[in-house]
Amino acid sequence: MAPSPPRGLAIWSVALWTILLALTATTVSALVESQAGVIDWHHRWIGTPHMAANARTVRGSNSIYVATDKNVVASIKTKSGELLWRQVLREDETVHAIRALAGNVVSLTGTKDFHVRLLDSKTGQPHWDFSPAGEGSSEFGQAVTSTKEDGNLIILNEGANVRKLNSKTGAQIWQWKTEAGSPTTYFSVVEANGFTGAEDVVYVLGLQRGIAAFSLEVVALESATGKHIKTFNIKSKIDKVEDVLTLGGGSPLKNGYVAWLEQDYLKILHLGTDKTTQTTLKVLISHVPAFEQLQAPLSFVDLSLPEGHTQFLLAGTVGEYNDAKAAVLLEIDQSNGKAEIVYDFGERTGFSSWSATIIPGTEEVAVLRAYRNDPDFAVLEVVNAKERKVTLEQVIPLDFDKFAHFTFASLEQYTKGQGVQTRIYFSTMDGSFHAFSDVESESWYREESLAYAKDVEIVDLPERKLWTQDVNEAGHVKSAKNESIVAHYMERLTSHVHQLKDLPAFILSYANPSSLFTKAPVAVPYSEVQIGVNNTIQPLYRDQFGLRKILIFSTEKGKIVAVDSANKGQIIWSRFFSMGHDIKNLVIIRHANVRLPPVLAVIAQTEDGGHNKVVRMYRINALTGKDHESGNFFFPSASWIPAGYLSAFKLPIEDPDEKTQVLCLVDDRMHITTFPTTEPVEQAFKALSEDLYFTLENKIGGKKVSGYKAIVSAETDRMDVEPTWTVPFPDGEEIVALAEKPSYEVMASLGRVLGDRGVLYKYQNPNYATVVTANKTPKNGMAPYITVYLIDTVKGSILYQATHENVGAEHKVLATQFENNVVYTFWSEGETSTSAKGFQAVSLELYESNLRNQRTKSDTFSSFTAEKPHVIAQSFPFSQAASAIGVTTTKAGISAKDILFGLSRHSIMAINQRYLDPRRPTGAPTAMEKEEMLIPYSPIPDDARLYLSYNLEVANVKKIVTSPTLLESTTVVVAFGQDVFVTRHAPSKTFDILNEDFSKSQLMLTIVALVVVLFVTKPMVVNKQLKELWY
Amino acid sequence: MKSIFLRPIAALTVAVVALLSLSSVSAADLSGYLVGFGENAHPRELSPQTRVLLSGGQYSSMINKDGKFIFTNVPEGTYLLEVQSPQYNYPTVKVTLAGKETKANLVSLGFDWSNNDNPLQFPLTLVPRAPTTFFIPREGFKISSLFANPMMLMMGASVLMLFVMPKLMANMDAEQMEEMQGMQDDMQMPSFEMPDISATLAKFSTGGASSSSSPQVTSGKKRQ
Repeated sequence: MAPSPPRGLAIWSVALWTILLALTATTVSALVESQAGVIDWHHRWIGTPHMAANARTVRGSNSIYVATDKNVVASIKTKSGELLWRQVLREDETVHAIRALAGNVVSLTGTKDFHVRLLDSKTGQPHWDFSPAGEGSSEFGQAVTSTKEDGNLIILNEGANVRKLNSKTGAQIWQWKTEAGSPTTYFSVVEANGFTGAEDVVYVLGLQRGIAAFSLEVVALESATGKHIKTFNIKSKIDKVEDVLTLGGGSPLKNGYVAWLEQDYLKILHLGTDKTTQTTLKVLISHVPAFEQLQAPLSFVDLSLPEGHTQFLLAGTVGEYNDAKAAVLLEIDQSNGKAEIVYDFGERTGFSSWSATIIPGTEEVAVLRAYRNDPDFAVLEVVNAKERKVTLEQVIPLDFDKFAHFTFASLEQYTKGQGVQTRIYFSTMDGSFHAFSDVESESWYREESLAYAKDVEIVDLPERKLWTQDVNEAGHVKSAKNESIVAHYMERLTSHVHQLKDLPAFILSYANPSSLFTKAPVAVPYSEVQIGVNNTIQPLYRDQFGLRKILIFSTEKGKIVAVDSANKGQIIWSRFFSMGHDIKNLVIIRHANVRLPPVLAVIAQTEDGGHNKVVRMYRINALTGKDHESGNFFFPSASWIPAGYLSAFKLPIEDPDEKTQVLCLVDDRMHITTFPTTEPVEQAFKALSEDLYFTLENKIGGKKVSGYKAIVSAETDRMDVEPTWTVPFPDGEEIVALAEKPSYEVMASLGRVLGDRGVLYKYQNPNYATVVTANKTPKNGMAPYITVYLIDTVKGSILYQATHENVGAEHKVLATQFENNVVYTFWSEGETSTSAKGFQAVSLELYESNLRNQRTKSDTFSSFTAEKPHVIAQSFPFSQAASAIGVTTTKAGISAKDILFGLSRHSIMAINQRYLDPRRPTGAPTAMEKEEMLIPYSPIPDDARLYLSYNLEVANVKKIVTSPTLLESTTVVVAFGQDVFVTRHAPSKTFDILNEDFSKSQLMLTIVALVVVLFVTKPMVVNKQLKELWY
Repeated sequence: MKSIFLRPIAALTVAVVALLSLSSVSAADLSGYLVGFGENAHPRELSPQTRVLLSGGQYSSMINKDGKFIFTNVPEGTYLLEVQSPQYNYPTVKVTLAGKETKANLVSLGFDWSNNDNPLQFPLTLVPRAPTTFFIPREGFKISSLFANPMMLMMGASVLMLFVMPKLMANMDAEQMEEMQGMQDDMQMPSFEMPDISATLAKFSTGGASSSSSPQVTSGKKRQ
C-alpha cells in the first residue's frame, strides 16, 4: 500500500489544478483589444422621444435633451444625431419632466422612489440627486418650474408635496404639503405676480375631487419661505386634467393664468384673483370655417412654451370621416384677461403634431405644425404668431410605409448671420426619431424603433453564384429566356473573356508584398445614425464563411427592420405595418435557394372595423422587404383569417410549387390553417397530423401548460386542434420562465465520455420543455419559492421537478435549455440569517441512466415510453444580475457551448459550459475526474474578460439569439432589447481558421531565409561532391 | 489591508439616517461614497454609467459628481451591496440595516455570511480593488520570438552541423569511422516488432492453429 500524500500537498495540487484549468478556460473567450469593434458592432438606442428640452441659446444649441418612454434621458448632437450621452434609468423609473437649467438638465423621474436630478450637460452625470424618503410619484402630479430671481427650482411630486430646491446643491429650502386625506391633487406650479399683501408668490394648481367633476383650487405660497398665504377655491366643473392649461407667469412681475374647458365654455382665471372670464366656444369658433364640420369636442394642445407666454391651441377633429384636424392659436389679452384667436391653422387631413418656441432675440412665438397628407411626403409648417403668417412651409420626403404619422415634434430656432434658422425634431409612429434642418447636411434620422425589438429572425444570404433568378453569373440581366445553346455558349464565352481584364489585378493582389505585412483589420468609427433615407438596396451575397446574415427584427411598434450583420449593422430595409398590427411571429419559410430568394412570413394580429380579431399573414422577400409576388393563386402576398392568433410554426413539409416550408397557423377558434392550402399540402398534412403534438399559449404569468394534437376530420377535411393534456400548477404558482430547445440544434455526441472511457448516454428527448413557476406570496408566512418542471410536451408527463425556497420575489428568473442541459438562475435570500444572499445559477444534465454504458433498449426514441431521465443537478453562486440568457449554436454542435448572459450592468457575458457542469467535483478531484478534466467546484467566475461586449454599455438586453455559421467554431451572437449588439463568438477558439495571431511576415521571413541558405549551401555541396569524385 | 477600505474623507458627514416611515416596518436611508483608483483619484472621473446596487438590483442608485450614492427608504434587513462600474472592480459588501445600528462587512462570492470579518466604517467609502481588464494582451511579432521558435532552432542547429560535421569527420581516425558506419547500419535495421500482415492474415484464415511457427520463420530469415 502506498502511503497517502500529506494533506497539505493534496490541497496544493487541487489549487494548482484549479488555477491551471481556470487559466486555460479564461483564454477561451477573451478578446484581444485590437479585435474590439472589428468583429462586433453596437447600436446605442434610446427609444422614441416624447419629451424634449433645449438650452435655447441664440446661436443654436449643440445638443438637444430628450426623454423617452424607455426611461432614458439623453443628449443628442443637433448636427449629426449622434448620442452625446445617455442615462439609462431603471425599468420602473419613468421620466415625468425634463427642463434645461443654465446649460444643464433637470430630470424628474421615478414611480416608487421620486428623484430630482441635475444632470451635467457634457457627461450626463448627476451633480446632485434629490430623493425624498418614502415618496413616490402619481400619474400626473409632477411639475417643475424655476424662480426668476434666484434660479432655484420649485418641484411638485405625488400631487401633494411642493418643495423649493437650491439648484446648485439640490438642498431643500422649504417644503409645503397638503394634509393627509386632502381631496385635492395638485398638477402644476407656477411663479406669477401676486396680490395685495403678497408680492412674491408661487401658485400651486390643483383639482379638487367633487361629486361629478373636479373643481379648480389655487394655493398661493410665499416664494421665499414656502409659507401658505391663501387658498382660492374656484367654482368650476372640470372633467380631466388635460382640460386645464397653465399659462403666463414665470416671474413675479408677470400675470399668470389658468385656462380650462368647462362644457361649452372656455374659462380663464387670472391667478391671484377670483376673477374668471368665460367665452362660449361656439361663438369663439363661429368665424373659423375649418370647424364647421366639428366631429368631437374641442381640446387643448399643450405647446410647452416657456413660462411668461400665453399662447395656446384649441384643436378638434373635423372632416366627413373624422380623418382631419383643425386648430386655432389663441392668446390671452393681458388687459382684459380674455382669449382671442391669433391664427387659424385650417383643416389638414391626418394627424398633426405641434410644437412652439420663442424666436431668438425676440419675445415672439413661432408655432410648428407637422402633418402628412401624402404617402411619400410630409409637411412642416412654421407660423409666426405675432406677424400671423407662415414663415416656413417645407415639404420633406417621408415614406408612409416606413414612418407613418407624426407623434411628437419639437421646434428650435436660432440666428445665423442675419437670418433665422430652423431645426425641427420629430418622432414618428414607427418609433424613429428625425431631425430636419435648413442646412441640408444636418438632417438625420435615428431608427429608434430597434429599441423596441422583440424578436429576430436570422436569414442566411444566398451565395453569389446561386443568385441567378434575374441575373446570370456574368452579371447580365436575362432578357431573352429562350436562347439557343449556341447563343448561350457565345454569351458565356464573351463574358468570360470580359472577365479576363480583371486577371492582372487579381494576380497583383496576391503578389503585392504589402498585403503580406498588413496588420489585422482596425476598428473604424461608425454611427447608428442614418443620414437621409436610403432606398437603393445593393444585391446581398454571403461571405466566404457565412458570417454575414440579415437580421430581421420585429418591433413592438409594428415595424420590421432588416439589418446587415456585417457592415456595422447598416439598415437594409424597413417596413411599417399600419396601425394596430401586433406582429406575433416572423418565420423564414424559404431559405435562399437556387434561383429563389428567401421568403419571410410575417404573422400579425389586428382588428377589423367591428373590433374583431384578425390574423394577417404577409409573404415578404427577405432580401428587399417587398411583397413576394409569385403570381400563383395559392401563394398570395397577403392573406388573413377572421380569428385571433394562438401559434404559428413551420411543418416538416415542403410544398412542391414554391419550395416553401408549409406554415401551420393555429387560431383561437382551435382551428388549423396551413399556408399554402394546395391539394398536395393537405394530403401531406393529413399524413403528418397523426404525430403532430404541440403546446399553446404558454406564457409568463400563466397558471398551467397544456398540450394539443392536430385532428383532421375524415368527412369535412376540417383541421382542428384537440387538447390532450394539461399540467395545472398548484395554487399561487405562476409561470415566470419558459425554455424550449433552440430552433437549430445538432447533437454531435450521444454521450459523455468519463475518465475511465465509460460513457454516460445523453437523454435525447426532443420534446421536453422547461417551465419555472414562482409562488411570490405563499400562505403560512413562507418565503417565496420557485419550482422547476421539465415536462414532456407530447404526453404531458413531468420528467423532473425541483423546488427552491427563499427566493427573491422581485428578481428575474431566467431559464434556457439545450441538448440534455437546462440552466436557470434566480436570486436566493438564503435559508438562515447567516447564509449568503445572491444569484444562483443551477445546471441540470439529463442522462438516460445513472449507470455508465447503459442505454435505453430501443433504436428510436418514443415519448410514449415510461422512461424518465436521470438528472444530475448542481447550483453555483453567480455574481451577476442577468436580464437575458442564451446559448451558442454551431453548425455541427462539435464546439463547446457557452451560456450567454445579458447582464443588468449592460454587458454580455459568456460562461463556458464547463463551469456550469453539475458533475464538477466538490471535494478533491479523483484521478478519474482529473482524467475527465472536470474543474473543481467553485462559484461562476466573475471576470470582465468574459464579457463579449467588453466595456460597451449594451443597454437593457432582453433576448440573446445565436445563429450558426459555415465555420463550426464560430457562432453569430445577436443581443437586443434596447441596444443592439452583434458579434461573432468562438467558444472553443477558432480552430478551423488561421489564427489572427498567425504572422504571415514570419512565414515569409522563414521562406526567404531558407532560400538564402539554399543558395549559400548549393556551391558548397557541389564542391563537396566534386571532391568526393576526386578522392 | 484594512486601511485601504477605511481611507478617511474628512468632509463627509455621517450619512446613515434612520427614519421611521408611515408603515410599521421601519426603513432607513443608506448612503456612501465611491472613490476612483489611484492616489489622486477624483470621483469626477468615475463613469456616469456607474450604478450601485442593493440586493441584486432591487434598489439601485446613480452616483453624483462627488461619488455619492444614496438609497432612500430601505426596509430593515441584510443586503448585498455591489458596484457596477465599467472602469473598476469594487468589493462586495454585506450591509445590515437595523435601526441606528447599521453595519457593513466585506464579503466574497461563494462564502456564507456568518463571520463578520472585514468591517467597514461609516460613512461607507468604497475603494476599487483594481481597474477592470476586458482584454487579454496580444503577442506581437518580434525578431527574438522568431529565433526562439523551436523550428528555427532546429534549422539553425542543422545548418551549424553542416559546417561543423565535415571538420569533425576529418579529424576522426579510420577505426572510429568504421564504428560509426556500423552504428548507422544498425539504425537502418528494421524493427522485429513490426507486425507481419501476411502472417496475421494467414493466422486469421487458418483459425490460428499454427500461430507460433510462421513469425519465427520470418524473424529467422531476417537475422541472417
